[in-house]
Amino acid sequence: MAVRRASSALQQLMASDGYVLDSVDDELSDWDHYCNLALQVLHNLQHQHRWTQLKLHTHSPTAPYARMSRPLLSGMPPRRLYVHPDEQIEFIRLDDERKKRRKAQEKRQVTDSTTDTVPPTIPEDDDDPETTPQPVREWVLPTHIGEMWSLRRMATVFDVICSVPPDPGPSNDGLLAENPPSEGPIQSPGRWREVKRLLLATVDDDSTIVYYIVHDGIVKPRQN
Amino acid sequence: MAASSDVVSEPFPIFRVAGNYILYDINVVSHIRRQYNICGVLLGSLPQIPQQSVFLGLPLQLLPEEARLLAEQGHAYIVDDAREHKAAMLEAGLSEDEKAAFRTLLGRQSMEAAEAVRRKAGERKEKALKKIAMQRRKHKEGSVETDASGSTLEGDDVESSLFSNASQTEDTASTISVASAQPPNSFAVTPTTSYPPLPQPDLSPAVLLPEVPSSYPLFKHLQQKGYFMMPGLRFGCQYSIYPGDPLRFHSHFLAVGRGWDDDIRMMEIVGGGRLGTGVKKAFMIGGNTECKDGEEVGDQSEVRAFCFEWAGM
Repeated sequence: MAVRRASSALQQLMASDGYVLDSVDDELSDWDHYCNLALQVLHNLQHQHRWTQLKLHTHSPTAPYARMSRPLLSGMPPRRLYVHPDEQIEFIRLDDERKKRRKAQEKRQVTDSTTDTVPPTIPEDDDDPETTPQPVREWVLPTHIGEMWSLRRMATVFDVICSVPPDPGPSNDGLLAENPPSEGPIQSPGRWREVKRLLLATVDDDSTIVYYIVHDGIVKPRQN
Repeated sequence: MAASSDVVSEPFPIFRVAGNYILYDINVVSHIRRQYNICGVLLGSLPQIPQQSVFLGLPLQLLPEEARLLAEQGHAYIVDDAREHKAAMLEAGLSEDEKAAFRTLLGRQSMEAAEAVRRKAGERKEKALKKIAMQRRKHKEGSVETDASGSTLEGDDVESSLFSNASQTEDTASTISVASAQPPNSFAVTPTTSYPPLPQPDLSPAVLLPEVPSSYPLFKHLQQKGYFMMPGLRFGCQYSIYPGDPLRFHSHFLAVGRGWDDDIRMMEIVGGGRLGTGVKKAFMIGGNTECKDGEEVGDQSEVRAFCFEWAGM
């Protein structure tokens, strides 16, 4: 007796009309496979890494907005994914300064207080944008472990993306990114994002996904 | 020869021995490290303790890439060592005058070396004796405070007697050790370079530029950016790349050179990236870009490199 199993959440996502399939018949093209791969990565990022505002990009966000060699994802990680080593030094310096300031303030309060009243505690503001890196949108390139890549292919991907992925429009609640991107405020790459970067997601057959930061150029490593 | 001069005249010869590119002159070795951030690998081991591979000395072996780069930029030229040796030593030979001049030079250098060693030993001895005398004085001052002058006299006596004694034994020892033809109080010097007695090898006949692997464009690009390259076998890559002299810095990248259309397996990126991140380095793949029509651009072509780091998620 044949039992029809309920499809998984991932299958449902892939079967949804969130994106346009290339093929007219039942045969899936390479592009469709790339899109399904991207959706698998999207699913993983959304549910296992708590990414938000994930979008599937089929067309380049830069003029002339042509279709890309393969689909990309963009999304917002829950916390900053990559901090440049020099930026980290800057953050540590700022944090140090803030701590010193607070200590000095506490001392002043202790010496000033002649009565027994407890001085008001200074809140620990860990989310201070000055001293903690704020998350920024990242590009994600979904790949499969069995693929062959080359420098040319990697360069083709980097050549058509902008430094920071475009913000999805407030009205866009679908999976697909708008093409061309809505006229939002142009994202400044910031002082520390001098070269383009993306997150390389590599899927294995057992659905393990590993993530690597790729820089389009020579960028010194982080000293974790 | 370190004693001769610290100035390196360019172009200097790089000796090709059985397909390896070797440098024998310590001045050249330090010159290329300082000026062209090229380190090479020291080969020479101590004959008595060859297993002490941490403390290797001359000669220095250059990677083919390093030799090629120096030759291309006109800083050096390649000399086929075997051919040059045959031509200079076996066919033409040295004239009597040249031989005599070389002997005199060697004699002078051996005397200088011995003198330097003696001077250093003397300084060391003096220092040690001063220390002893000081301790003795302190000791005596502790027991009999009045007899200070006597003790210094005694100390001087000991010093001088020790000196004369030492120099005598040293004389006998060195006379026994050196060959009878050499004057006493001299060391046997083994020259590390063959010029002198030979004149500097000619630019002609020029040996062809060294054969280099396909990763040469990446090597050259990084070298010109001021990075130092060391062999990368230890980290499973082609070059480990240092932002400055390897004696002062940790390496930043594990680099692999590729052609523009060469296949790169994803597993290679994952493995290299993960290994690199484990040792606080980034994994780099780079190579020459090519024109759209597939024709390779000459020397001016751009090198493009990508760096991979584990994202930590």
